[in-house]
Amino acid sequence: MNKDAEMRSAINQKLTETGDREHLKELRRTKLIECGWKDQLKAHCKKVIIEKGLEHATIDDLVAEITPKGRALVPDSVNKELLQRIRTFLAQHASI
Amino acid sequence: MEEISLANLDTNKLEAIAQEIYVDLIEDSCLGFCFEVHPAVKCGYFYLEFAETGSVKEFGIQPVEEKGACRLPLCTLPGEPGNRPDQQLQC
Repeated sequence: MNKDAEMRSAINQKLTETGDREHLKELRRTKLIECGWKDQLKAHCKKVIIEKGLEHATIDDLVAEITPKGRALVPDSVNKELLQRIRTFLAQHASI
Repeated sequence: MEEISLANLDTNKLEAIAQEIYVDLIEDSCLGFCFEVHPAVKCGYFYLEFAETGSVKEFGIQPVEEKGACRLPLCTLPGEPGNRPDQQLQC
């Protein structure tokens, strides 16, 4: 495993061990519900299902249609807050 | 495993790592959403979210209120008695 991959693996492990990953997930979940992201994505989902038909919508269809839209719908404020928290984590764990 | 120091990394590399973690979090949300919606669609309760807004018909589902009176003779659903077929129970 090269040094970069080793580093990424160590960071991910640290994120999990310290419980920070769960905190970030909880923050993400709260912020995305508060800003209406989930509701907007449900509305988009409804359009996709109507187009494909209730019986024909596969999980692959949903993932292909919803994931890019989901990424695009995240507000800048949520984006900034999550990134800031991640940067703080990286600064606090200068050696892993 | 030897200790890895992030302090020696340049800002761009640290920022790239932060972005990767962020993207991973968002993708996780999107996939989680898909895995919630898909069984709801297949089990038939996804459209219930939209029932109150009257948009159930857009899914090709006829609301119960519009299906008309039940034709079963002993059914207590509302409807004109005359609509019910004349059937007698045989014991």
